Amino acid sequence: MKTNPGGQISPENMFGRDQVIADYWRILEGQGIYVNDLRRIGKTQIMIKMHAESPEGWMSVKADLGRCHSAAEFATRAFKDSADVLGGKSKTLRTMEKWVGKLGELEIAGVLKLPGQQDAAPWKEVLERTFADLEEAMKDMGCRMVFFWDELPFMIDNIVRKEGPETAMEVLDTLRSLAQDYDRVRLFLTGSIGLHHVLAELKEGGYIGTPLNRMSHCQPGPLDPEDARDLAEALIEGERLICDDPQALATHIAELTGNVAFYIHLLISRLPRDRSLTNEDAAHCFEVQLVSKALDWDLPHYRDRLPKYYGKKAMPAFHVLDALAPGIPMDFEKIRNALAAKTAYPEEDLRKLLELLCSDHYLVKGADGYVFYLEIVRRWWSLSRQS
Amino acid sequence: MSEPTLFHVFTPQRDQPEELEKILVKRHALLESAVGKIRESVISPDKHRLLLIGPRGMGKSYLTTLIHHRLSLQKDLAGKMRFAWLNEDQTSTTFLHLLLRIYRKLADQYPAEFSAGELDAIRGKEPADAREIIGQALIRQLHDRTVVLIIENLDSIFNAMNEVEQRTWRGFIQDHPRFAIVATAQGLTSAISSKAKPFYGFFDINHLEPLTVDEAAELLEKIATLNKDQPLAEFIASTRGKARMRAIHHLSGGNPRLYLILSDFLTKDSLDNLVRLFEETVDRQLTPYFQERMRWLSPQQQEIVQYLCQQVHPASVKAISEGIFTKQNTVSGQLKQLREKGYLVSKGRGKESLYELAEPLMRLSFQLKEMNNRQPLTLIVDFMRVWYDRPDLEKRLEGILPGTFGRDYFELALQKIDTEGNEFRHSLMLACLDDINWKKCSASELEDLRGIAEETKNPGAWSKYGWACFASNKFPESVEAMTQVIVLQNNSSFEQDGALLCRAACHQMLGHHEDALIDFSLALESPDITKYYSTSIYYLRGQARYSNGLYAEAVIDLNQVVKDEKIKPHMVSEALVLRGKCQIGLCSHKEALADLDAAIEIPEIPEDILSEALTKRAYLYSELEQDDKAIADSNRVEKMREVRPPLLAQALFARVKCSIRSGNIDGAKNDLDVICCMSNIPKYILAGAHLCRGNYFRRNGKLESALADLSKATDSDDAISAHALFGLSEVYRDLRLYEQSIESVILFLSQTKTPDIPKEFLESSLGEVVTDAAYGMRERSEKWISALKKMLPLLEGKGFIFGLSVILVFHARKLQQSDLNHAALDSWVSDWESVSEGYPEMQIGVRMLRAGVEWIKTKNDGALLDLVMEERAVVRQALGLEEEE
Repeated sequence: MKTNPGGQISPENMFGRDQVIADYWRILEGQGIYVNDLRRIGKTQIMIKMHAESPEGWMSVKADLGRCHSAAEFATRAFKDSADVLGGKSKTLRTMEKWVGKLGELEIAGVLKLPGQQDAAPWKEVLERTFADLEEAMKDMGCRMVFFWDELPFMIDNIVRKEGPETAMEVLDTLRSLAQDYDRVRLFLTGSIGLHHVLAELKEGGYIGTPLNRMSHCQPGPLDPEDARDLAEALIEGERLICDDPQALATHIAELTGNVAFYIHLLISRLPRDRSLTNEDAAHCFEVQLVSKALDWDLPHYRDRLPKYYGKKAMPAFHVLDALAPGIPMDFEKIRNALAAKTAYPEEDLRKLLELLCSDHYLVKGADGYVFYLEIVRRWWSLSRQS
Repeated sequence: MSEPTLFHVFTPQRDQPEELEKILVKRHALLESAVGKIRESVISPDKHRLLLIGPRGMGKSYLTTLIHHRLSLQKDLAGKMRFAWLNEDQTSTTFLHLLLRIYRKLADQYPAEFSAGELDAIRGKEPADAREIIGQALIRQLHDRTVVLIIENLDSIFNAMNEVEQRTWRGFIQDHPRFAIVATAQGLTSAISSKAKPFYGFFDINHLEPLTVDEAAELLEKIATLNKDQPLAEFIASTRGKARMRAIHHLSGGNPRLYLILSDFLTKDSLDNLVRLFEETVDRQLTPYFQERMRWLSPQQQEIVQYLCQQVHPASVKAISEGIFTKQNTVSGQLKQLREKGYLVSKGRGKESLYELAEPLMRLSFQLKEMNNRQPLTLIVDFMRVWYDRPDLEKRLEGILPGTFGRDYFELALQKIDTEGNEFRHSLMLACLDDINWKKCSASELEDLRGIAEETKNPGAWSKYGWACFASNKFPESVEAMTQVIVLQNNSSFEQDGALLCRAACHQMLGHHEDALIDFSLALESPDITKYYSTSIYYLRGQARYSNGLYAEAVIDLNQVVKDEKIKPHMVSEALVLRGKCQIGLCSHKEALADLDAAIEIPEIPEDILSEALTKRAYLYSELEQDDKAIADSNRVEKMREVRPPLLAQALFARVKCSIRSGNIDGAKNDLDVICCMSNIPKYILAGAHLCRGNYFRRNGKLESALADLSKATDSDDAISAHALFGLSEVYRDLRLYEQSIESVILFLSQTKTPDIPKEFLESSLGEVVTDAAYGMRERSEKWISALKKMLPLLEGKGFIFGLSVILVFHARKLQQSDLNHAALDSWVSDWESVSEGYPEMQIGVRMLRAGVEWIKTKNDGALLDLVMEERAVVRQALGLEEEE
């Protein structure tokens, strides 16, 4: 197995996530899921694996909605994918068929059109009919359907740009009601950018909907340490790196990268091949990559976005992150004291700031207090603030 | 030489891949990895997406050509992959357009599999429909194969394509994992590196680094070899060639494309078509790109870039601000931005930052734009006058007809050499010195430094080379280099002084103490050195004098050091200890003790110096038989951490002597055991310890152990070795190994130095050993006689003959107690009579022996009457008889 940072990894070559996936299937029994986490943490890979290995009683569709530029394209996509999945398994989508004609004779390109018409079929009706038909089909088959929809935020943003925020709001509201109304159809949503960013912009335009409020919000986080180590070891072997103790090296690499698969791939791909490697070599390479001006790892993003998105809260945020950079968990009181030494900051504001830093995946709150969410970000932060 | 291989420096896809393989440098591992990953993408569900990043000319197209070539050679992949190599000159503003380009490529290359009719089917369709139709068609006709998509200038595509289209593209790839991608880009744009963008983290990125000097040399060597130009290949590999490569490196910035261009000028005999083609290609390929890049800059930034285009060397902020008549503060800010945008790179020189173009090809393009009336390109002319000597240029010029295009390059290069000599080349080479850290030079860099020094004959270059050799412990080379500095007339006094000091230190390290002394003394004559460094040089000269055994002179130097109130306490302690050692050498024990006491009292004395001071003092005390003090100092040394083994061994040895004197034999033995197991200690200490312990074993009857130790003790300087040999002779004798005993005696007698044993004792002991050994070997008389004949001259030389003869007489007692018959007794005496002929000092003893033997045979006092009265008395004593009445 070769290093493949950013590439597509087949489900059989994925490491770990078994427990996470089992948990997600269990949640899907009762509700839809919105997965929100940092980029490259592995959200799409989880989705790919779930789609490829869906348990008995489940059928699934997987699509990258970033391809959809309009509500009509989205609705057509949902319909087409459903038809493809159901093709040959049951009766066709009946209400849709009544509306658009025999599905077997239908030529659907990017946007579904009603027979004899040039304009796109009304997207909302396409979605509603598709979901209704799916519900019935699933009932007949004794199954359930899950839509694995990746990059929903991208699509909403595409729709905003092309058709305006109102249409985007309507799409979201429609999705929400569809998800509520049909018990045999579930949504599993994720995206490279958080939907909350898109929603925040829509809210500024007057949107008051809460499309995600009936969905379970999940955050997969990094791999379990053992899985991260196994991945690292497999890559060390696949890349034919020379070392005396592959397992020890793999464990060290997993620790350095905070068990994030993407960074494990990335670090191992950058290790030298011309000599036997030690833990020190890995640590040195890691540090070089973190502070490299090449910006491949885009860790400065965590620093650079603070002034833009936090405004006046940016400076206290810097202080909080500086305080946590050594890696020792700190509870609220300790953070407050550390911040008080640098600047006066009201307690309530601090609580909100910590919430924001958590929702932005800078921090996570554990039993012992707040720590950096990703170890790699903590290491980078610590290094960058020293120089 | 056959017609040289022409490389399409701007379109390597047009070159024969086999030729490209032959000149591959630096990127072997990357190429193999890339091919391996794409292969994995074809044969497994995993898909790799590679992105090669580097400025123009860094080898991206070259690598993609080779990736394509190597994959094409893998026959097992033929049925599983389909190449779509997109033209780098085209861009796409929408994903639909990109998809169409991909489909067309596939249809062109694989017409039987990808129908061109599908393209007709989308005419007039809405973009969303067209996208869906052509996308489905591609996937459908692909079946289970993988598309290897090769996209060059990906960054220009991202610049042209808005984010919505990028998301569509990404979504298509995610939904249809059938694409392996090999892409190239000039730089890391935000479209790829920013977390907010669709393609963040999407690619496996490799940054192509510029060639180092060695790699560039390797490239040119390979090209020369490919063109069967062996003299050129050899020249490039030579020291001079490498020095010139360093100079060229400054012009090229390590850009492989520039090296390929320059290599053409090395190998072509005629520049006619080459230059024309080259200029046209530069104009077509580079100029639009760089013009575009310049458009993104503010006017002032453009000025800065244009200024640097005209410079050969990196320029300081001050030089740039003066060059464009702008304040330094303003220029600094602009430089920072230009660096962040990737137009410039900065290099540190001490505390100063120097700036140069990040893309050397930009200079070429700029020159092309600037030149009037088709003047030769400055960059190429500069290269030629750096690379070629005047005779080379003249020779090549002879082969070019007047009026031929390209002749002007040679003419201008010659003209510049006439006006400037080799100054330009030398200035580039000397500029390269800044790139090399003399404290940490690789072997290759050392060679380069030497080449530059030889070529330029510059004292600074020789000095740097000399210091680099010193730092690498190459002292003979450093001496040679510093001698060059010293003899060169154009050296600065700073270089001269530094060279003297360095050379002196090298001589010291090489054990050439006299030469070191000369140089230190010369250095002390320099007013500049003495102003700042006199104390240090006095110390160093003192060291050299001490090493040379010139203790009194060393003391004079060290007095200068000790009395300097400005030097740091730890240096004072070092000087005191060294002076103490000199005083020991002069047997001035009182003065030595005073110095060592003073050094030890200094609180800042470094641990290493303290251990040395204590060791020397322990030794002194033991010599002065102040045993308690000696033992106290030795104990202190023993307890210190990380004492150097030689010092520890010396301290323990001092304690051994004290222990023996005080009767603590066990204590002495324990210390000797420790010393005998130590490594990295002076031979004389180790041998001395073995000698002492050997004698200890002998006295305690452990003869085998004694043998082992005494044998080891012979591996030393003469005095200890001699002592050990003497001991060995006795031990062998005691073990009845008589031949070895005699050999040891002979070896002992051959030593130039004698051990510190009283002569009388030595004489008699030797005599006993010899007679015992001879007696033991009596039945092999020819052997002992032969050995004795070797030994007697040596004994005579040492003055031990008389002692032997006396012992011989007293040996009669042993004969009396033996069971030898008369014949044997006679034979024994006859042998001695025969051996001792020619040695008058032996005659009395032998005569007395004869008389004694006669008495033993007859038991008749009359047998002694041939002796005079005094002699009879000795024989009677030897035989244990009462005195005569």
